[in-house]
Amino acid sequence: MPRLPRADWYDLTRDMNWDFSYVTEEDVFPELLSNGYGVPKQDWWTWDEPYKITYAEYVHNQAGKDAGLFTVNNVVGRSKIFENLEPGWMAATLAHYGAIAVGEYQAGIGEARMARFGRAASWRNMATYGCLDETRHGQLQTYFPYQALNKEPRLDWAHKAYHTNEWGMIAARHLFDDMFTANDAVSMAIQLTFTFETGFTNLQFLGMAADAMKVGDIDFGALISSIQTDEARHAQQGEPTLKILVAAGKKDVAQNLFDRMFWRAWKVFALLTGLSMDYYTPLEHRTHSFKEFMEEFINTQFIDQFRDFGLEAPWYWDQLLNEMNWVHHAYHLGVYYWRPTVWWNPVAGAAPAERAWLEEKYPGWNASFGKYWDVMGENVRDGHPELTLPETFPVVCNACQIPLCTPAGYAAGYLSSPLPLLLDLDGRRYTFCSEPCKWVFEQDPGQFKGHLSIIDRFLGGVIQPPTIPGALAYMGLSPEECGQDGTNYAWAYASAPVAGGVGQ
Amino acid sequence: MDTHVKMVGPVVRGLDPNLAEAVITAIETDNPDADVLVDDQGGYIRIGTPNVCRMTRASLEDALGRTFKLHQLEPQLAGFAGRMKLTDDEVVWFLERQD
Repeated sequence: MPRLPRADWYDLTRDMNWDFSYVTEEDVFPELLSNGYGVPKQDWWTWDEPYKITYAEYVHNQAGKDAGLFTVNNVVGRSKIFENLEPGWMAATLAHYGAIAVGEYQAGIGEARMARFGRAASWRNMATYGCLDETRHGQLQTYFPYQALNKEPRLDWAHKAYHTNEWGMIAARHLFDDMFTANDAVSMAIQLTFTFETGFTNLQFLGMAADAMKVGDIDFGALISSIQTDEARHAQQGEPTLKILVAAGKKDVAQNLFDRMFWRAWKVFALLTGLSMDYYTPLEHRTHSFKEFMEEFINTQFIDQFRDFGLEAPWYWDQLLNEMNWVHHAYHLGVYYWRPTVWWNPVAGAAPAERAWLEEKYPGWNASFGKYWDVMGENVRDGHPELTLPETFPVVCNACQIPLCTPAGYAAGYLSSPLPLLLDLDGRRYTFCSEPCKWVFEQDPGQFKGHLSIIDRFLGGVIQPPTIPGALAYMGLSPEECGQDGTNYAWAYASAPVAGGVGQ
Repeated sequence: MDTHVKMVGPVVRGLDPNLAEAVITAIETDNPDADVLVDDQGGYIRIGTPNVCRMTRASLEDALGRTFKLHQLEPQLAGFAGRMKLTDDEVVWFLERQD
């Protein structure tokens, strides 16, 4: 049989668009599931993915990816690599699996929605691969931790976390529901595949892969970088969707969708990747700081790509650059202090050598955030570690669902006021950590206003008894599962390096 | 916005050194006028040239010493800077906007 070059038959086999005669366009693509933003049907049919792959090629590649990955996994499983991982790295991987694994299955629901309600056959074809990809990611990231359950029982949070009301998972679910589970196919292509996957997933899945290889966690590094090869392909559903919206004069729609999700993604990655890179990864294995990764992958690589379509950096760009200096340091303080509320053992990452590194990467860190660690270190050395633990709860933002850190930002000199932002709407008051978070909420109040933050639930009587133990039980954390200091306070007793820069 | 040089090109996983080396060689061959940036971070290797980065199947096959279809890059292609256009014979990463 003669073989045609792929380019000669690819479009023909892919493009199954047709006019409807028995049903209306609205019946097939209800706005709630596929908001066409008024772009004509024939325009959508020009949707053309820049990176083409046939189903046969897809299956061949995916089989090869898993064969390679499981070769590594089988070897590592017979080694002592896991037992020798340092406590900070364990914290980073436990946080990763809980925050991400089941969310991947949810992303599969999002891809399935685009596979049905995407407005062109070519798009639905790409989304079908995307749905298979996300299923793969859910399976791999629940299976890999499952293998080590006998060594670290809390790895079951890879599966459990998403089904709990643990506060970080409420934040993750709130984000993922907004981005895909409760989103329409067209908006999702801009917000999930473009903003989130083309942009932010690189931080966690490539940045942490670089750190993993230096730490020696080859299994984790191979896993997450293999996942990112799927993302790099199916993330391209964003580009053709963006081009069609821009060509149809809907640049404002695309910019608004982007701006809303870019900020939301920033907040969650500052919490997850920010802590992992700047505090949990052992100092000698760190490649870049979180801020440097942001500058490489987001502020340069990603924004260059976004602006190439004629769009601009978000209106809150200055606030982003401001928060990049401090917000994840504040998050880390909070997570460490409220460590019983997380399923991993946070390490302080505040021994003298680590503090010198932080001061180098974030000038002024010692004089601002370092002071809190001075006090906690003293309390530990004075025999009062209980003073480094919480007796009450913080205020939580009604958009990002992460505790407000405005007082820390103010004290560090980055904000002009320590006060939260407020919004009174339909008889209740909402609280926000930042102007962009308030703006996100105001863009679509109907999407958000019925949601109760963990603190709304606490104050509203949903959590009983309204105490720290009652709240921990509500979050699904038994005493054995609650986070503890990952190094048993070794950091508080570590001496300064001989040539260190802390200078006491 | 600043006026930095916009670097474009692939980000490959660090798990297949032979392929990564071949990609670097092919990009050097196909972009003779450009200084090729190679930033090896262990877990990933960023390869790039300013504004446009071409890599042909022919050059990659020469560098590898075997036949290779460009879609087979995917298992090692963890990301890329710029936009990407892939055909049977070449892959191009590029950015068009001047400012």
